[in-house]
Amino acid sequence: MKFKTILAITFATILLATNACKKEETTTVTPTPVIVDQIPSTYKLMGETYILGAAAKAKVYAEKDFFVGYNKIFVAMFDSVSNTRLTDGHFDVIPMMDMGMMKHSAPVEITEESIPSDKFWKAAIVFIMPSSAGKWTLNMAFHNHKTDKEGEGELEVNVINPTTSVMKSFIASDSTKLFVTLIQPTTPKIGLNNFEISIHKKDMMDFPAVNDYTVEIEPTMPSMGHGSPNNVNPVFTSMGHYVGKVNFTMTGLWNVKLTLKKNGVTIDNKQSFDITL
Amino acid sequence: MSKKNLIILVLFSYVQGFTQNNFGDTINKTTSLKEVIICDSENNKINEAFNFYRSSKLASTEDILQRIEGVNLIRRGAFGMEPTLRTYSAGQINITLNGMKMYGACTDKMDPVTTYVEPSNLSKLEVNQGTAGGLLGSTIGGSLNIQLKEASFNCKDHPQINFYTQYGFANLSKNIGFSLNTNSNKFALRMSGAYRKANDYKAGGDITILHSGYEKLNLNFSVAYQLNKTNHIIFDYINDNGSNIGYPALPMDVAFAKANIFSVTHRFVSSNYNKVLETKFYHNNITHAMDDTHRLETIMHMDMPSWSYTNGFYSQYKIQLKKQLFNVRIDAHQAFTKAEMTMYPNNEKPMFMQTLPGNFLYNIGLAANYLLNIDSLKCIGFNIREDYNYQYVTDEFGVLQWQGFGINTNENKQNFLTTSSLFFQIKKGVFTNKFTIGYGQRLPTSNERIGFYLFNRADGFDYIGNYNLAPEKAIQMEFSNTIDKKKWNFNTTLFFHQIENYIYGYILNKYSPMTIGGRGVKTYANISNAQLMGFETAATFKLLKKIIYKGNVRFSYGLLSNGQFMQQVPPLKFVNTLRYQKNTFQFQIEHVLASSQKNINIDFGESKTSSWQIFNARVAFAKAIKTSSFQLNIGIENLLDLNYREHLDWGGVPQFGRNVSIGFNYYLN
Repeated sequence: MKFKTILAITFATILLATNACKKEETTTVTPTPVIVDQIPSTYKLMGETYILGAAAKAKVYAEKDFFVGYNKIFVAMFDSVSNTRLTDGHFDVIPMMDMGMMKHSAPVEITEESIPSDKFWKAAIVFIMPSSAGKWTLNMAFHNHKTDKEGEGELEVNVINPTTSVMKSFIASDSTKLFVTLIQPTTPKIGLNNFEISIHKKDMMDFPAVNDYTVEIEPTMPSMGHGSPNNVNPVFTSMGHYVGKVNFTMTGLWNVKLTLKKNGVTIDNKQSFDITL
Repeated sequence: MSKKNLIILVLFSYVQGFTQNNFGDTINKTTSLKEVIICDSENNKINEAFNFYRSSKLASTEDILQRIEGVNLIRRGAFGMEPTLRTYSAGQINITLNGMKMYGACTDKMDPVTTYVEPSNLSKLEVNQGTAGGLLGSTIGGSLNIQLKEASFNCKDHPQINFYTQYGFANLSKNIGFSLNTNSNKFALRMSGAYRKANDYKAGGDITILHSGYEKLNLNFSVAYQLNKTNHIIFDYINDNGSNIGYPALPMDVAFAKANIFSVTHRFVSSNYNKVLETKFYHNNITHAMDDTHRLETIMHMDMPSWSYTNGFYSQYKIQLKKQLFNVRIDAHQAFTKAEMTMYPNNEKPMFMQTLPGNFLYNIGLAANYLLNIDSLKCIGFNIREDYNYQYVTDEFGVLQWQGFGINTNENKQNFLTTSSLFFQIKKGVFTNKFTIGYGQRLPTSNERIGFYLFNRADGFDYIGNYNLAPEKAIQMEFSNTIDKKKWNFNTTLFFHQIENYIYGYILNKYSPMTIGGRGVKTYANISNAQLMGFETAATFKLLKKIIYKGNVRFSYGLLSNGQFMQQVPPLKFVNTLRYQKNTFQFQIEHVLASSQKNINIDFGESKTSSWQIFNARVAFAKAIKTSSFQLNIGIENLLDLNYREHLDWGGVPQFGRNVSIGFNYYLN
C-alpha cells in the first residue's frame, strides 16, 4: 500500500514535470515567427521598383541616405499581385552612373543572393561619386523561384557627399586606379576600435576587389602631432576587405594614414581618413 | 604662574601652553600621556624640534617641516611643497591629517595634504620614519600625521583669541588670521580663519619668478561636546580655498583648489587617563583645476580638472599599563579619484581624455603596536599592520581607454600588505641606543597604476600607468644613539634600507607623447632592488643660560640595481640655529648649508646642484598686559640675497632671495 502510494506520487510528479517542460517549450518557440514580415526600425526605405518580367516588386532599404562610400543595401521582394513577401529567388544588382557623355559602374558586393535568412537580399555598393555628377541607378535583376520568372528593374537613387570623406580614389604608383573605402569604425569610441577598409580597383568597366595587398595604418592627432600605440594593421579577410584595430587614446580629430603595399613594395602612402570622436 | 613665565611660555609655544598647561582638561591630557613611556622618544624629539621652530613664527607648515631632520620638500613653486621623508615621497609615505586619509586631487602633486593646513592650526606633527610609521597605514617610507587644534575645554570665563598678521617683502605677501576658542560646561568651540595672498616672489639677484603668486583662504571650525567626564564628541570642519596658485616649475598653474574636510570623533578617556578609545568618521573632498591661461607658452588651451573624495573611519584603542603601552587600531577608507583633460584646438572638436580614469580604492587595515619597559633602562617595541586593498576603474570611458592598451582596469586589483617593525632600546649612563628592524610594503599609487599620459616636467616624459605593478617592499635597519647630558644632547641615526620591486619609470619605445613638446612616453616597472642609506644627527646645546644652539644634519644615498642613483635624493644638509632668549626678547640666527649633489638620476631628468649656504635672522619682542600679550617679530631670510636652488627644486627655479618679513601677534589667553 505504502509502496503503491509512493509509486503513484512519483509517476504524478514525473508527469507534471514533463508537462511543465512541454509548456515551456511551446512558449519559447512561438515568438519567432512573428517577426517574419517586419522591417527593422534601423532600415530606411530608399525607393521601390517593379522587377518587370519576374512578377515582383523590390523595396530597397539602407541604414542611412546613400553617400559616397560603403553602403549596405537590403532588398525586400514582394509578389506584384498578392503583395506577399517573397522568400526564394536569385538577386543581383549593378549600380550605374550616367554622366551624359559616359556611363560607369561602381564596386559592388552581393552578400546574400538567394533564399536570404531574414527575407532580405543583401548587397553593398561603394558609390564613388555623388549624384551631383550625374544620375545613379541601381539596376537589379531577380529570378523569382516562386513563379520561375526572371526580370530586371531600375531604381534611381540619390547619393550625397558625406561631410568627412570615407572613400578615396587615386592612382597608385603602379598606375592602378584604386578605391579605398572606410567601413569601420562607423561610430568611433575611445580606446580600441575595429578598423575595416575595402580596396577595389578599376579594371576596364569592372571594379574587382583587391585581395593581395598589405595595409599599414598610423593614427595621429594632427593638431597635436601625437599618435597612439597598440594599433593592429588591417589584414585581408574576404572580398577586398581588410580588418584591423585602431586605438584612439583621446577624443577629437584623428587622422589615420594608410600605407598600401603590393608584394612588399609600397604603392601608395598618401591616403588617410579623418575620424572624429 | 608669574607674568614672566607666562610670556616665555607664549613665546616658545603658546599653543602647547593652551593645550597642556593651561587647559587641564581630559581631552588634551592624552597628548602628554605617552611621555611616561621611556622608549617612545622618537616623536617627542620631533615635537620638541617642531615647537622650537614653530615658536619662531614661520609662515607656513612647510617652513616648519623642512627644518625637521629627515624631512625634505620637493618644491614646484612658492606654494604646495611636497614633503618627503628621507627620500621617500608620494605613495611611499603616508600623510594623514588628524589620522584621516586624504588624497591630493592633482595628478601633478600640486596639492599634497599639507597644503590644506595652516600653521596656526597645527598642534602636533607626528613623524615616524620608515616602517615604524605603520600604525596609520601601510608604508615603506614612514608617516607624517598632522594633528590640528580642536575646540578645548578650560575654566576661563572669556574666550581665548589669537590674531596675527604677517607681511613679506620678497613676494609682497599678506598673511592674516585669527583663532577663537570658547567654551561652556558642555560645549567648546574653536574657530579660525587665515587668508594669505602673495605676488610673484623675487629670487636672489632681484630676479622675479613669474607665476609664483598665490591666494588662499582657510577656515576651521571645531565643536566639542562633553557627554560626561570621560566621553567627548568632537566635530571638525576645514574649508580651504586656494586660487590662482602659480607653479613656476610646471607648465601650468592652478585656477582653484577647494577642499572640504569633515570629521566626527568620539573620544573616551578613562578617568585615570590610561585608556583612550578614539573613533572617527570622516569625509573629505577636493576639487582642483589647473590653469594655463596665464602662460604665454601655451600652444593650445586645455582644462585639467581633478577630483578626490575620501570616506573613512578609524577606531583606535590605547591602553597604558605600568610598564606597557598597547595600541590597536582598525581603519578603513574608500577613495575616489579622477582627473580629466580637455584640449581646445582651433575649429575642431575638443579633445578629451581621462588622465586619471575615475577609480575607487578601498582599504581596510588592522594595526597594533606594543611597547614594554623591561626595566628602567631597557625597552622593546613592536608594531604590525595588515592591509587589504582593492582598486578598480569605474568610469566606462577610462576603462575603454585602457582597453585600447589591452588592459582591463575594471577588474579588481587586490593586495594584502604587511608593515611591521621591531625595536630594542637600551640606556647606559648618558647613552641611549636603539636598534630597529622593519619590513614594509606599499601600494602602487593610482598614478603609477592607471595614470594616462601624465606629463612629468622633471624628465619631459608622459607617463602611463602599469596596472600590474607589484607593491614595493623594503627591509630596513636603523641604529640610533642619543647622548643626553644636562647642557646638551646629541642624537645620531644611521639607516639602511633594502627596497625590492622598486617602482621606476621606463621609456616605452615607439610611443608618441601626448604633450606637445614631450620627449617620449614612460611607464612604471618594478626593478629588482634599490638601496637607501644615510644618517641624521640632531644636537641641542645650552651654551649659556640664555643661548640655545639647535642643529641637525641629514644625508641620504640611494642606489638602484640598474646602476643609476636614486632620484630626488637631497644632498648633505645642515640646519644650524642659534637662539638668544632673554625674558621676552628673542633673537635667532640660522645657517642652512647644503653640499652639492652630483649623484643624480639621469633618467628622471635630474641635473647636478651646486652647494649653497644661506643665513636667516629673526627677532621677536613680546609684551604682556594682564591676560593679553603682543608679539612682534621681524625676520630676514636669505640675508645675503643668494641666488640658489635646492636639489629637490624642480625646473631649475631658484629659491626666495632676501626676504624681510614682519609679523604681529595678539593673544588673549
